[in-house]
Amino acid sequence: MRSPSPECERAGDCLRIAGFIALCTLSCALPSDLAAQEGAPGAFLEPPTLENLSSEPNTVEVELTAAPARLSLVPGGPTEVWAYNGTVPGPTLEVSEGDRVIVHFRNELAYPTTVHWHGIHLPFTADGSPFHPVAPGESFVYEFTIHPGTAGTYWYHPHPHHDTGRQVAMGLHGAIIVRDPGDALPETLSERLLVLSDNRFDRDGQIAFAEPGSRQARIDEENGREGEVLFLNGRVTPELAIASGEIQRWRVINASGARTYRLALSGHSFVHVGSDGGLFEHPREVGEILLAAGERVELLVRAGEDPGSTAVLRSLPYDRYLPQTRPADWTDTLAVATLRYSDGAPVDAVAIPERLRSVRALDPATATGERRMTLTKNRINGRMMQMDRIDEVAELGATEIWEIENLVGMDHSFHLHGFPFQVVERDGEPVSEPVWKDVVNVPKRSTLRFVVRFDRYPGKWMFHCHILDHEDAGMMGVLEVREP
Amino acid sequence: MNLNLNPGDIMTTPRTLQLIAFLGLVPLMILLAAVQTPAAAQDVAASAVSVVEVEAEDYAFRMPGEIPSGWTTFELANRGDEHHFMLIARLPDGMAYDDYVTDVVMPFNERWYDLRDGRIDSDDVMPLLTEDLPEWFWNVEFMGGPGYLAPGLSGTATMNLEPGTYIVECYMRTADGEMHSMEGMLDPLIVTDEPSIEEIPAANMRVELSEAGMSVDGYLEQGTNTFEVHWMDHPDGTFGHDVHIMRLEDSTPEEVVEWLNFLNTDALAEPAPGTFVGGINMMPAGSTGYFTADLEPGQYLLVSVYTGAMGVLTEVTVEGS
Repeated sequence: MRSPSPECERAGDCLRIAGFIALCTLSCALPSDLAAQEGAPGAFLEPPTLENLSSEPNTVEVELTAAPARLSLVPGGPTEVWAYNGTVPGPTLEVSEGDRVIVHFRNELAYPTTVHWHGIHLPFTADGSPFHPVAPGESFVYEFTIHPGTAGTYWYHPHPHHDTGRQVAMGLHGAIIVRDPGDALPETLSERLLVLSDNRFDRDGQIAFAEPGSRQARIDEENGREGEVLFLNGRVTPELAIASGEIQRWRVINASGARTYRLALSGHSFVHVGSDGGLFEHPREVGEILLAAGERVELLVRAGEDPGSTAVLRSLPYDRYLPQTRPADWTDTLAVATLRYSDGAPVDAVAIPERLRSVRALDPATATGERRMTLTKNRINGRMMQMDRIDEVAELGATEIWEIENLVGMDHSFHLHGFPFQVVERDGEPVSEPVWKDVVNVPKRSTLRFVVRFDRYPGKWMFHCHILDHEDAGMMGVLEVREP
Repeated sequence: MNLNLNPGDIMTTPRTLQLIAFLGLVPLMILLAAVQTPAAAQDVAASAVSVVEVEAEDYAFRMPGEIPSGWTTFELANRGDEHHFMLIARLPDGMAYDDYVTDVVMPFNERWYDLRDGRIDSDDVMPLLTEDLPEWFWNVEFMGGPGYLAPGLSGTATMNLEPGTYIVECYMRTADGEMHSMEGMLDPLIVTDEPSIEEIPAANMRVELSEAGMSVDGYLEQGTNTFEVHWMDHPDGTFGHDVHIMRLEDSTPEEVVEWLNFLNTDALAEPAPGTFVGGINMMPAGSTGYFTADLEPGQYLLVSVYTGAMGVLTEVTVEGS
């Protein structure tokens, strides 16, 4: 297979390509030689769901293969990608609380990889961290249980040491939906899965990476690699249908390697009902949503009552950058999708409960330890990742406060494997409602504190910046959770 | 204490002559920036000091974003594994941190890359920068800040700061040739109208920096020494004076000056030629600033980065008590 192309060297080149794409995506026919993604370009389609091969109750057994593929993503292709089961995004893993999950994974790439089940509370050996690479041609069976209270929106992606950003950019990412049989939101709400990603292409429609040592490479190293083409479920500005007056439940995943989305829907507000680890206790009406790399949200979107009209889901400008490497076009507003109201009569509104669920609050007063993580360029606490070094040691069952201090003038998104946490303070201001998180944006020159409990699973757990170029460069450490 | 270095001793090496040649090409701009001195009317006796604690990591400052105006002591603790310093500069009215980064630091950095990667010669750097930099750069006022500090050491610098928009910066270099400022050691600092409330430090050493060289008076002691530094002038065609103290170990003063010359591609990166224990960065002519340094018995070099090659340096000895 061809190597990822370094040809799209200058941002201007890619912007021109992006402009071209914007003009013709809706009308470009699928090349006939593709093992193509289903559906016409521009149409909103959700990724397929992984087929459950098990007939056992409360058991989900699936097969997942990472392999090269050729897909129609942008004009000029087909684009050579790395895909899970042939699609980008990969097929969605749908499970319920209490399920036993068995994933038969095969690596048909030419490189070692892993599958990291991002945000899932599971055994160390099933985490798909850099400690457990799967060699080319090899297989691995991931087994874990979905614990009660963890219903929410998660995702999976590779996590090989020094190569996560490239593998995700090449197409390896997919959604996980964990369902709660007692979900408080009405079943009649139609649900949409929105996997956001971005990418950069050369003139031949191939995924492009900066030439090592180039100015673009320096920018990517600093900002993380951003692509000028935005995708929603692998399509450029697709169109979602919604009935007038209808309320939809959106599960949104930021699967980009670096980009932060500041989402707004023209003429609409969102009802923010959930975050990384599932529903809040209470819904919140907001005008926009900030979604850093790796984060997820659950939103309720209510269509207006004007049949046939449209609204644009946009990503507004957000300055997460150092001024040294801030992109020239960072003030641009980017279209993500179009929401089109159907022509039929408005549907009746569905009542949304004021209380969504009870979230067990971790009590900071029970913390037996406190750790401080200082974020600087490609470093945590002044150190870069070493696989043979344990950076932190915690006792199984302990509750701790972690203080994350971002010392530099750009945002970092901090991710802890294996154990969800609750942010309790931002820049000295308390956070009132408990919300389960596994990635949190730490804005430039700011500090936050979270409380975490190391339940159930000993092992070596990564903590890192989820700007994948930063992670790959060494902005990562190892927490070992040990039996008392 | 011995003041036993003849400044003329280091003026004779070819490398030094090359540096002097460069200095002759340095445009007047930086000098102009340095001599625009609102602090020239500093009233030392009547003023007071506030203390700002700063930690330097690899590669970031931990410090407040806003401080009172007036006499201010910056206590810099180097928590990193590399040398760091903290240059403080006041921006002209109407200019912001982002302007400094994009219009000043970035052109400097691009020319540094050109030099580092062999696309231009050192002789080309300053003429090109003269074209690159905006007019307002020549009105930037360099206002001191703690000088070069080795890992694990702490030092202070005390200056009188007027209200305004400042930047703080360390442009030492990483092993792979990146300026620390590009790695994150470049921050905005707002000095407010609120006055500071403490007293200026009492000095046991007096340093005068001038075109004639560096004069040092007083008695150096084992332990903490406080230096009162006077900028008498800035020589034409130079960046201007500052002063840093380095414990001389295996290096000669000439080697130190070479390492400090930012036009040398291996300069300002680890390993340093010795252990820098403090100092104060450049201030306008007519200014007075203070710094402290903890000194163990041994031989030290007091050196100005940009005028050391012209003889603004002095070798001293700290005797054991």
